[in-house]
Amino acid sequence: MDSTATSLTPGRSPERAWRLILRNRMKRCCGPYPAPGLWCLIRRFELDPIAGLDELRYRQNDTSAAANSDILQEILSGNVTFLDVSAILDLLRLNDTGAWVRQSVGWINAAVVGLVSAAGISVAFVASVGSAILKLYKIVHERTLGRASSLVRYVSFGLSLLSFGLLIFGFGNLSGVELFAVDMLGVFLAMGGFAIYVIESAKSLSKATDVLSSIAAPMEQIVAFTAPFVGGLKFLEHGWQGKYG
Amino acid sequence: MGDDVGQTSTRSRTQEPALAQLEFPLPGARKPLNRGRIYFVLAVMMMAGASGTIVILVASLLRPDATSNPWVIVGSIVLSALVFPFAYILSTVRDFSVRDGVMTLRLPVRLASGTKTRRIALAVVDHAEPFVWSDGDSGLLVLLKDRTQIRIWKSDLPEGSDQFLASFLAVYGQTNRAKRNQT
Repeated sequence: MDSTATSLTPGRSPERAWRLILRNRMKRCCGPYPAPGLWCLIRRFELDPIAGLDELRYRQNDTSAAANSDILQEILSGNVTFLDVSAILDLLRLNDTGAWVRQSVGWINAAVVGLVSAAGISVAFVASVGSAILKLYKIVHERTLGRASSLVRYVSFGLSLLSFGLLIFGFGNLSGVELFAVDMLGVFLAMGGFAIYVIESAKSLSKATDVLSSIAAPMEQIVAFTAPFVGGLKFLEHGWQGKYG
Repeated sequence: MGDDVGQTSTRSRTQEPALAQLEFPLPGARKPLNRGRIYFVLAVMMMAGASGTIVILVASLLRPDATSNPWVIVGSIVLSALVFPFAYILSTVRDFSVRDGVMTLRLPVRLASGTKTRRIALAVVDHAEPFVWSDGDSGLLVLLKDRTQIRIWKSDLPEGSDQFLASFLAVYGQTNRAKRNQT
């Protein structure tokens, strides 16, 4: 046991003390949104107090930056029966409606989530920029040939790709006016790219060459046709979540 | 000699109506969609949107109490800036037309003199020959008198352009080149 451990045995009744401890812990760890297990523990403890909880003591180790992070941070100790332990564990596994939930989801470290999210955004960014630059190269090639139809189709595809890139960036921690501007631009580019692609590929000659194409044309169509819908849904979702406020 | 004159005068008589018919879109035909104007308006709107977004993001980046991830903002600025080359290219596209002896190309071309233009007078056209590109597209390779090469792509023209291409080839085809030069 760490030497700086502090024993928290409030003078109030054990039940109230427990609620205070858990609520304080939730505020510290989870902000305004409590973890489902702990929240349910309180809710269910209020509805159906378990005798074993009264016997437990809460102990918190040193949480300063200088402390060893490998040690146990918080300890529940006390003499309870095996059935009490089972009851407490069951309470932690149940959600508000009494259904079993996978608590392991809540145990993933926030840093891991941040790392994975950053990696995904980085990959998406590199892919978007790379695709856009490749399209610019093809555009320069078509421009040299003076073929406007293919050029405009490449432009529309490039705009759709950019819209996807911007929408992916909306998954970052953008909020407020910045998120609104990025989402709006993404949706507009997607709709513009879609309109241009439809106009240019409506000609029978374009359709004939599209049939001959194995990968490029179907991929262009998927990107150009889905971008406005994905962008629109993302815009609505962000608005629904109140992220623009 | 008399035959030559006769032939020349005969060709002149046959070419004049053909040149007069070299108009596109064909008179009386259904007016095609004005793509050039649509694209130009879209390009201007995209540039305006990208400019506004970049201004907002830069202002957010410079704000001391910004809560957003600065790298996400920088990435968004880079992606927004990439809109400009696309929009600029889109704004340069016009509709192909031939009116009053002047051919307007969809994209500007660089002449041998170094100037870029999209309006070519038919009087400076030396000859034209058909070509087929590797992806199945076809059209006319037009050679100007200053040796500048221009391609008129079939995919760039609206539906029903075969008649115009045939008329153009009839007037400026390689086989008529010597005869046309004589006139």
